[in-house]
Amino acid sequence: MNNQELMIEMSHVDKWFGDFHVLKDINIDVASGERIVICGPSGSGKSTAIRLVNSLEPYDRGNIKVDGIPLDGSGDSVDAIRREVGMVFQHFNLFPHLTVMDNCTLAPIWVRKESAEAAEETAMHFLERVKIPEQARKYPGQLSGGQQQRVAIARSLCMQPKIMLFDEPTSALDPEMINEVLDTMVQLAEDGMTMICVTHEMGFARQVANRVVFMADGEIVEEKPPTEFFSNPENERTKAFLGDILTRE
Amino acid sequence: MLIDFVWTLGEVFVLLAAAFAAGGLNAVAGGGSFLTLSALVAVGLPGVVANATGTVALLPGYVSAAYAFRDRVDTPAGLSMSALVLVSLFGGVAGAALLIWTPTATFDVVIPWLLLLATVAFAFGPRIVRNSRIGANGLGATASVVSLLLVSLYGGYFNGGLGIMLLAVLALLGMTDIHGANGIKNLVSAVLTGVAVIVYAWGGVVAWFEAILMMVGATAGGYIGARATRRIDPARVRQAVVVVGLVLTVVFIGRI
Repeated sequence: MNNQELMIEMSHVDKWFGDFHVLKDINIDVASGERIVICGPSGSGKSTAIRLVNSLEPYDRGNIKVDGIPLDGSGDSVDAIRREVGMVFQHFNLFPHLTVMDNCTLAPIWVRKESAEAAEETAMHFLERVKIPEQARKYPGQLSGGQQQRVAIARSLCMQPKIMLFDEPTSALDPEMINEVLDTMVQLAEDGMTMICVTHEMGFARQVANRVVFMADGEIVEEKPPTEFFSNPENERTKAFLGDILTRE
Repeated sequence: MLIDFVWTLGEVFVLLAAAFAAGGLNAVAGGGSFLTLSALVAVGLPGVVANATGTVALLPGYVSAAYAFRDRVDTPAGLSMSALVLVSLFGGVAGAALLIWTPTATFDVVIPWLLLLATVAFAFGPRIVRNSRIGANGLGATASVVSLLLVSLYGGYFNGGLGIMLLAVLALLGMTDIHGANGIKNLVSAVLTGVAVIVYAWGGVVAWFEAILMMVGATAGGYIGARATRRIDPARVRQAVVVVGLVLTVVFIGRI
């Protein structure tokens, strides 16, 4: 780890769902501007791991700090952390009854207390950045999956987060729409956003990740820079996973 | 991107075609809002917005019909013209306000039942209009106010089948002159829809681009439809509307 400011610190984190030990001694540090890709077979706990970061799930043991704020489960810490962290989900999670513009301005107006004018200006800026400003007046149902996911990214950016979490953002999309979302994420990475992406898009991992974390059965099995991760995986499970996913690509 | 452009073009075509057919249908027999609502939901608008937007699209048709029949307005027993307008205004506002307050998820559940109600009105309304045996004095002022208020409330909320429902209610209230009843139907429809549209706009539930696009389509359809009325049997058209209404009811139940 370099000397840059740490944005996310997860140390010795454990979590159970009932008797099921879903996360086992997870340690991940993410510096400001770093991009981490987490991959692994389904059920490996990778989505749960990033859901802990903005407190969508509680954890049972260990410590998590986000931008120096300890996530201790108190309402204040959750609020403070959620102001810093944006999240994009597999199924977009847009409000279907609100226009694209209203989806983007809702939280800035109600949570950040921005004026409607300022919020709309910011929303337009980010909609231009994800290349769909012309869809601002439409409803989510009128858009393709790729467009909806780009709106979801723009909506997150409108809250001006320091960290973005992506939970399999392309896995619900038709193949022809995956690239438009990945391009947006690449651009975001190039602009210096701190990101954790749970994804199986290995091309994306190669292109933008500083480190790739491979998880299986709730554990971090291997963690390496992408060139090493792809050319020289050590663990048998990593090799098997990569063999499987790269032949599919 | 090309795919987005083609998608948008397809959407515009579907909305224009549905609006054209709806305008024509409304000029001949009514039931146009079945088509506008369905088309708007099909292109991805949420139910509440689709319903409000479809109503905005059909407003010019209501207004022009009211204007065309302005000399043939008669009022039901015990009701002055100003009372009639007042009741329509109040019902329209209340119905529209209720729509704005209805969560989209709830409205999606309600839509099929409203469609079914409107379809039933289409199936049985004409018989009620023909066979109403209530005397010329009707049921009196209170019954007139209450029933018109209920229909106006429904009209402000949903609009589908409003015309035929109004005619049936007016027949039950003792209006035997079909031309006079038609005049009132057009006036009440225009007034309550006009005021409902203002409430929808205030509530932010109108998709204006789609509304204006469909207004153009519906107005053109209405013009053609009005010219074709002499050659088309409205009873036949009404039967077709009943079939369409039943099909859409089933489709919308499937969406819940």
